[in-house]
Amino acid sequence: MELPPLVAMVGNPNAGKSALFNALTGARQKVGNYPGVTVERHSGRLALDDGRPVELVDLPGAYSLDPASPDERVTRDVVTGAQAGERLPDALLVVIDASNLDNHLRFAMQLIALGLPVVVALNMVDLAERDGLVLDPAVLERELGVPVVPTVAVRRRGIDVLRGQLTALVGGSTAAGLRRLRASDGSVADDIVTLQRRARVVAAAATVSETPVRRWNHMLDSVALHPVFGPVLLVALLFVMFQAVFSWSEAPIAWIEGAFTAAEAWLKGVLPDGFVRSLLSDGVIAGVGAVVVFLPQILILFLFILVLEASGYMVRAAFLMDRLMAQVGLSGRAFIPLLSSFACAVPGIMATRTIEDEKDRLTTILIAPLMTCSARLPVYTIIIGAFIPARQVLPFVGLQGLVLFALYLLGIVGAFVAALVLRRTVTKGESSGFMMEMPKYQMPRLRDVALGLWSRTEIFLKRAGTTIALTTVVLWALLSFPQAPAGQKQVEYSIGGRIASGLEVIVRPIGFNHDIALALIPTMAAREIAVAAIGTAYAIDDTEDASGAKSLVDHLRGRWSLPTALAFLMWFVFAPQCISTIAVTRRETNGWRWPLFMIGYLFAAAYVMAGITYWLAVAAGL
Amino acid sequence: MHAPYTESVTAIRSPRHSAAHHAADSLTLETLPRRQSAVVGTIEWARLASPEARRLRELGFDEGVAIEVLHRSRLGGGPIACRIGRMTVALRRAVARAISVSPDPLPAE
Repeated sequence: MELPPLVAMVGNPNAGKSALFNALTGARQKVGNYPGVTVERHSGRLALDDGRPVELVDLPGAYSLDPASPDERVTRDVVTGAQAGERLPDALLVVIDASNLDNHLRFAMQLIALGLPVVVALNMVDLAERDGLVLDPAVLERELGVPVVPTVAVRRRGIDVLRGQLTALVGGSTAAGLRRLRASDGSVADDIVTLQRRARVVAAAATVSETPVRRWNHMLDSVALHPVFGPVLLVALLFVMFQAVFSWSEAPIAWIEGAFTAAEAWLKGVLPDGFVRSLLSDGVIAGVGAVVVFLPQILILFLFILVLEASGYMVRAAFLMDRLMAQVGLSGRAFIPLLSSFACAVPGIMATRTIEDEKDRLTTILIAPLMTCSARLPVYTIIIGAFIPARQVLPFVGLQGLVLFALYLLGIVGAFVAALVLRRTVTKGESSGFMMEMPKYQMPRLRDVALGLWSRTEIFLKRAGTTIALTTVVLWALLSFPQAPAGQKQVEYSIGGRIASGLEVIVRPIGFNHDIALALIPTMAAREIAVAAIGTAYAIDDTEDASGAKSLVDHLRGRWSLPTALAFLMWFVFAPQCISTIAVTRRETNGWRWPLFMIGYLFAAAYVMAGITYWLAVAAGL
Repeated sequence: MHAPYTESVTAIRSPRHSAAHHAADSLTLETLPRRQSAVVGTIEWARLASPEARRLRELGFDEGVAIEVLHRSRLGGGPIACRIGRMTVALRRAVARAISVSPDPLPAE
């Protein structure tokens, strides 16, 4: 099979590459991974004017061919043909921001010097004009020696012309003779300053007129970065975000719950009582339902994070947080992955790829699981609901909400303490500093945000349908066999029960009972399983209980003491019970050393903190 | 008070620096008044960690380039946001201290 020509899109961060990629490929795109690294590979198909297909790959943004982060390394390796699992591109589509010519031209010139056929997209010309900048693409074409097409990706302006240029570029007798590649990190990269100076001369030549306009960017920044209003705005935004996670999700959660209840009822109607029905309703539907219910909360959290990122505000937040982060040896850059980790540590850990300093990055990865991710919510919600009285402690402040807030806070404090200790011990080293380009504010595109949310939904549902469904089924099986003889409890007699009895010996000193020991085992796969696991155990127990079915909350109240419940909450603040997090840590740190270290220190912290909580609560007579 | 920031660039505490700091013509990006347009003078590359120095070059910091401080958190040693060329860049004070600037004779408007 003959492969279609490969065109690589490359340019500075914030050049609008992804928007242009979306405009060129539409929905025909696919997200994969480069072998060996976790850098995502975005590729898509594009039909040229003459009908031939072309594969377009969107490379991570970079400032030069001298890589500082894993992301930038992939960009360098692809354009020089050194990336494993990727062909040398047949042509480059270099994207530059029209309003930032000085800087983007330098990288463009470095790329043109590689010798591959190049077309330059002079992107975001509308924003440049708004800033009072008029450019002459013809001058750029002459100076660079390659075609230059003005585009406005988000309005699809210039897309047809660009496609026409690509058609000419990868035309029949392609550039086999042109591939005289230069050493990537040789003379060209070393001489950034010279190239930069030349870029400035070319940019000045291509600038027809430049009227100073009071830029609204600066006005927004004078609020967002204000020494007083800036932090106030950031705290307010975070407050609204967490508030929305709870209040906006109520209705959709009720719909999902309704759907699963209906499915269970339907199943009970069509299937006779017995093995298959128990497996499907107690195992699959109860387990998967308990998890899918949290999809709305996760999506709301991601909605905020995607919008904050796309608008350019996230970097401002990093700016504001830098001083605080510096106190524990990190930089403002670490704030972005840590905030994402409130939704889920997996994308959070993946977002650390933009942190250049290896030790900074490692520290951020190691503390990311301490941010209260959405998978802990089901556990917190049910335990708080069962054991913490719904009492007002202050006007507008309920005790239950206060406890939940304290758990979030505890995670943050725990992360800061961990960072402080790690930076002085295992990830000891010079502080890496903080230097970041602050992109222009932009209106987030509905389409791009929707695409981002959709891919999150897909990942989540796939996980719920596979890992979580499988784990709950296995747990159900372990708890159902062998059948307990009369007079013995099924949850203790079964295989699962016996394993739990072994674990109980270890967790008994921190106040955990047999039920919790049982729940902790499948919960290794994902935290939210804890609720499903306890639910499954009690459901199986119910079938032989003469008093009939009770609600999960009633079961909990009957069997757990308050100190036990508090210790259980504390355990979940720290315990690294998430297979996906461990797997992504292994991938991102290239080995088992750091994930094992993470598991070790977090379990130790969980054990100690839960134990302290239990014994303090017992001593206080709770 | 600035401890977490100065820690990273220990060379800053050298006597050479404090002498330079008190010299009359030693306006740096750290001390440049806000909204005062200026041009970059010399950059003491040797005082910067090499990844920092490289990124600074990549962001377009070079002798003779127009620069302006946009924001600086007044409460202690937070980072500085400045306009360099047509970009806005955030950097820490320890780095800003290594960049000497001279104010533009012409007013900004």
